[in-house]
Amino acid sequence: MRVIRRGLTLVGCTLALAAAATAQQGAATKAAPDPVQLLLDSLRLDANGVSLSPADVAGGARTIAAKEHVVGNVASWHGPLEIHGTVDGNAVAIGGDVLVGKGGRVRGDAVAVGGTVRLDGGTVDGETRTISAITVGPARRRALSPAQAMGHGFSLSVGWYLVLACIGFGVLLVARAPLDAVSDTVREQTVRAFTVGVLGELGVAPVFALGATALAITIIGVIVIPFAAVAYFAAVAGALALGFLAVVSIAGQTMTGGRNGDRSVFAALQPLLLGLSIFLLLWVAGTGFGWTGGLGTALRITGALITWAAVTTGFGAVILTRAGTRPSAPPSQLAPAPTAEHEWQTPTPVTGVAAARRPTPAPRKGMTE
Amino acid sequence: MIARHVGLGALLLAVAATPATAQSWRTLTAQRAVGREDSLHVVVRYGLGKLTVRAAEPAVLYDLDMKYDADVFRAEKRYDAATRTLYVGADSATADRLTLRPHNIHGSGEKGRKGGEMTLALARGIPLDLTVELGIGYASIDLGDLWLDRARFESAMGGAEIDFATANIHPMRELDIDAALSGVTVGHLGNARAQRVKVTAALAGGELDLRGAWTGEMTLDLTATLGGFELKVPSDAGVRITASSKLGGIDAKGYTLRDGTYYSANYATAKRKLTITGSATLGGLEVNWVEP
Repeated sequence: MRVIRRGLTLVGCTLALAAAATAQQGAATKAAPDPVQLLLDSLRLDANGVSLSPADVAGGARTIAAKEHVVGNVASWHGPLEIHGTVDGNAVAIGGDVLVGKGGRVRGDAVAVGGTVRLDGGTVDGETRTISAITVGPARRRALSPAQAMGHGFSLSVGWYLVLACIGFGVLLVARAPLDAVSDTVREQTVRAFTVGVLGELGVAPVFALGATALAITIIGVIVIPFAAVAYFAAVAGALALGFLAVVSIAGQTMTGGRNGDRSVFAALQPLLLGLSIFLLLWVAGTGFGWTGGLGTALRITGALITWAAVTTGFGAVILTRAGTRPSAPPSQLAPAPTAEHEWQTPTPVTGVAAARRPTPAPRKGMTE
Repeated sequence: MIARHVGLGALLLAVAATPATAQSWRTLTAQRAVGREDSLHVVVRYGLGKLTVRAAEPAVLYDLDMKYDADVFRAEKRYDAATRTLYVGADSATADRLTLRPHNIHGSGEKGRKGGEMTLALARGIPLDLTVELGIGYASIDLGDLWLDRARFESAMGGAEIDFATANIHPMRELDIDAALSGVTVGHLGNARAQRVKVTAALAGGELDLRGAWTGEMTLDLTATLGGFELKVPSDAGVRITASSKLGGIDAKGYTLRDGTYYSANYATAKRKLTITGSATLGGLEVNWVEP
């Protein structure tokens, strides 16, 4: 009895599963999109396509005979379409050629998708059009594969490395003193330089707006505005580059153990390239781990923050040193204001004004010379 | 040490070099025979690649042949039979996205990619109202054998060579050329038989060859800012220059200055006359004689 019950249960389950599977298959069959309908939808949405109904379309080759008159559209799918009679609407071949033979007439358009339209003695009242493929939706750039994205990131990083290395070499050749002055300021007043850098970055746009407004007051100034704009932003870019190179140079010197006293260009180039390599590695690491998702993003954000901090600090140092033309000392190291006590030390000007005499204390009572 | 860094850079550069990606090329051809059309208005908006405009075969209203990268571009061709207007080029969505980004300048953002090509042939024998808006690309426009009633060309960051190889069937009402950051060369401009030619150029320059079959009086309104133009004027034409110069120069050697206007020596006796108006601001205008 138990065996029979088990057997019935098993049969019942099997039947139920079979019924469910059949039902699912039927639903899937019902939900499966009709390829012809999909194609016609795409053709309708294509800017250069045509609107057809499924009833217009016949699979394989199709011929409209000489005395045949079709009211409406005719279309073939995966086959040529030959017109020897008259078609009131459009004649469309999808994946085939349209041939309008002698005596044939198409009152609408003759369209071939993935084929050609040939007129062999026939006429087309509308347009003769060929489309190599249906194109639907707005144009968008194809998403890069992880390998392509990595290659793109590497290219960008290495490109920046080479560009900055070239600029750095040029700066070392022609503007060594300003670079050193900026470097010294970054080293000695890092926090102050960073603060000034942030303020400077915030002030770039307002300063430009103020300057342009001031120039716009006069006619000559209006003409000068384009040149002034180019010069201004070139100066800002130069200041950012100079500051960043100064920071990079310091980073390289830190790695190599500081200055070795060699003042040659090539001796200064080594820490600069090393510092640039550090930043390059930051970005390359972010790019290289891009495939990991979160880690790559974190590395890229870290690299961006460190680079921004370096650029900002350098920019601030450039501002403080007036592009490296004057050393900047912290307020604590500034010379004290002259006081009455030191007035006697005022050097005698060459014009002949006598220096003040050093005050001498009055002799104490009871003391004799 | 330096060699190590340079070597590292070169190695990474070599690693970074990626092969060119295949482009999604599409082609579109469209042709229509001349029917009852007694005129045609054509608007071409082409931003990427090379554009060629020329006369079509007889009895053809327009003949379009376009090759484009579907990854970055959507081609569109619309013909409105009611207004007899043909729109060709980028669809509005693509055109709106056209910027000065490198992938637009080079046709794509990826290395090794090429811009598209478009050839548009237009009907002979019916008056055409032609507007060409060229974005970033190169245009070769041969307007010989056409009947142009009005034409307007705009070029931004591109180059255009326009040539009127044969005389316009009827005088053209208006010809506008607007160039920015572009180089524009117009050959046989006299064949346009335009009563008024307006050229506006900003950070652009080029050459205007005024030889051709024009008669009577022609006015050339030229405004050049931060650019320069060379005018080649047939030696049998009289020239009058009223254009002003602001921080620029107008090279008018051999001309006589009367009441602020320069006159060529043959102006009074010439059968056809050219009046140059407009201004050159931070730009130059040079007028040279050539054989008719």
